[in-house]
Amino acid sequence: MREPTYFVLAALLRGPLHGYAIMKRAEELSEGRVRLATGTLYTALDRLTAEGHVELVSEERVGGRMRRTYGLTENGSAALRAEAVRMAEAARLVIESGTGTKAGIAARKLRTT
Amino acid sequence: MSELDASLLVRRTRLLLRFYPPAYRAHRGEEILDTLLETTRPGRGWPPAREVASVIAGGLRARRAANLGQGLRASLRHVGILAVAMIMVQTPAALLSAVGQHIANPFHTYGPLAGVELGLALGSLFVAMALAATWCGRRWLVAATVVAAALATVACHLVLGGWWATAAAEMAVPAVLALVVLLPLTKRAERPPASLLWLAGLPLAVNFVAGLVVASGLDIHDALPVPVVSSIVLLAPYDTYLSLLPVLVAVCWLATDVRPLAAVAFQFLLMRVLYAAFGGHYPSETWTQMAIAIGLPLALTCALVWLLRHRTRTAPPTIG
Repeated sequence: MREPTYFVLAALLRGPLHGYAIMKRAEELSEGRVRLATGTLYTALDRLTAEGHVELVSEERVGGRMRRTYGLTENGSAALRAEAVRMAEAARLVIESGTGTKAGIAARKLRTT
Repeated sequence: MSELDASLLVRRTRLLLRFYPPAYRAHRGEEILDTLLETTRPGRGWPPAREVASVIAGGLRARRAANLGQGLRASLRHVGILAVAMIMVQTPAALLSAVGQHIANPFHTYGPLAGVELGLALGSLFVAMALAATWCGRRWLVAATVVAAALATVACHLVLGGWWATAAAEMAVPAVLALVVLLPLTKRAERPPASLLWLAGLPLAVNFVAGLVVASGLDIHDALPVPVVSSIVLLAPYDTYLSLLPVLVAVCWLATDVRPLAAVAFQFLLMRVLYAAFGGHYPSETWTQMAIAIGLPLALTCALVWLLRHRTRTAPPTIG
């Protein structure tokens, strides 16, 4: 799962949001690292909707224009959790082996001798 | 922001949304517009450059997905139909060229045109009928046109004698063969797209393939004896600096649709093979040059069909 997709799903964890709110929430959650542009957001939403990870929750007219709200499905929630676990595992491997730290290098030397 | 500024921004943003295909716009247009307006700071006349770029890229991606929506088989059928259409269009193009030459110089060594022109005019009518029938998915009408065109060609050959008969047959045989190819390609359920953008992009595709041929060291007139006539006719509208906008539109369109480029390459290949089969090759042409003239469009056609297959497999879902 690519980072923008991950943060789009993560943005919907607390509840359904409309397009602009998803962009803002994803930026906030990623501490400014993921800044979704409108075209990218709707391409991602099309794909996630087709895959069954996101669903349309409501449609309303605001100031004469259509505003749709999207929510996370069970599938989407499971996929997000699975990805989070996978990333946590990957991070744990690196952090626990102490790669690059003085302690890690010493530990590796000990193991090889 | 004043009301005037706001309406100007909305108008410009709507213009930007035209990068998306009509069906997608109908489904998502207002929603994307709403989001774009939210991302634009008050007082600005356009959405931020980053948003503009993403909408253009998203629009082209959506167009690409829509163009592949009918699947690989249908796309290949469209490539075939377009290639055949281009071959058949060469008959009216040759007719126009001959009539033009006759008007400019009635006492030209080619002599009076009555017999061949009548045959060509009839052939052009068949071509138009067959293409219209194919586009509408009427297979029986295409079949009827094939029979009529074949009969007209034979009659033309019997009535006219000598050089005229050979010239008429050289022009008619590819058209009749092309009509036969159209038959299995015609399917009611899979009509080729009717977008006018196809007309804008085709000359550019012809120019691109012709450019490749020239770049490989071949004389375009030797390498592509027949397509060059239609290429010149097709490229005429782009032969001016004022045509930058249609060229840009054509480039964007070709980026979203591989089919016309594949069709042009395939058409060049078909014409070259037909020419080798019926007309032989120029005395000045070496076997190496002939191999390049056939191998280049063949390689290009194969590469583009592979790209079409790859894009169809990895296409995002079609919306709208």
